[in-house]
Amino acid sequence: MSSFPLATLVLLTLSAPAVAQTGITAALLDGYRVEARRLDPGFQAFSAQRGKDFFHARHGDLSCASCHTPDPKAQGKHHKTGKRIEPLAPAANQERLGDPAKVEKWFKRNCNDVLQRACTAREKGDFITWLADLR
Amino acid sequence: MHPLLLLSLLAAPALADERRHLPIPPAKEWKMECGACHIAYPAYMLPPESWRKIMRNLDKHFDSDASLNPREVKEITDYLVKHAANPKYYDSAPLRITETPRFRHEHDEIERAVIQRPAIKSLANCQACHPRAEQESFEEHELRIPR
Repeated sequence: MSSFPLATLVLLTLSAPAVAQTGITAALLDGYRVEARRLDPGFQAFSAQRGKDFFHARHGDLSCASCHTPDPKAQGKHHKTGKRIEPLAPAANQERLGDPAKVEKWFKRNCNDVLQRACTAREKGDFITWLADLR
Repeated sequence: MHPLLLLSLLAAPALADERRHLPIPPAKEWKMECGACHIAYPAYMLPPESWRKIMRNLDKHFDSDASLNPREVKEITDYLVKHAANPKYYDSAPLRITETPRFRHEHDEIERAVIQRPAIKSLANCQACHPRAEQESFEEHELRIPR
């Protein structure tokens, strides 16, 4: 321990879950990037601005914001049942983006409900890029 | 690198991984999954065949995609069927709790105008009038009908 300041170790230990979380998000984005390139060889990079526009875009009567409110850091409400929905942004809810299977589960369900189709890898990557960096 | 530092960096993802792979008790999984979009309606409110039908068609669940993976479907179906209402009191397998004889009997005196109040909106919105619906308590003395 003498060669390593205790404070630094404590700090690093405390920040480890945050590092793991960011690693999960990065791995998710890596997967979407591979798929986006496969579908479009000209694909360059994900865009937070496109992700934000996607979140607010209306498809018929619905948008993502219909349940999650226009602010992903706010508590949402299911548009039909009124059930409380915890905030979507990791900045307000550290459980979010922590489990890739859960992310995919909800993309499948919500894209089908709101867009009547599956979301593309680019849409998912844009959206996560925007959401993960909200402060 | 200091061995303790290495340990602290390695331990966090390992813990997170382990937590995800621990089996979730069926009652907890039911509550978590069914309770994500509406209250987790108690199993005893429908007979077994109703739950089987509902759980077979989760991708088209009352106009929503509520699909689960096959393991989740099996575990939650088993849980619901195990705790379901006794089928001998049912001559059909309704998909809606609001269509069961028991529910109709308990709610038949409520006027349509009351149900249409903005704070209620639907008979499926149990917690509007039953504040402890999420705890599966529907006692008459707990009733609070919003104005």
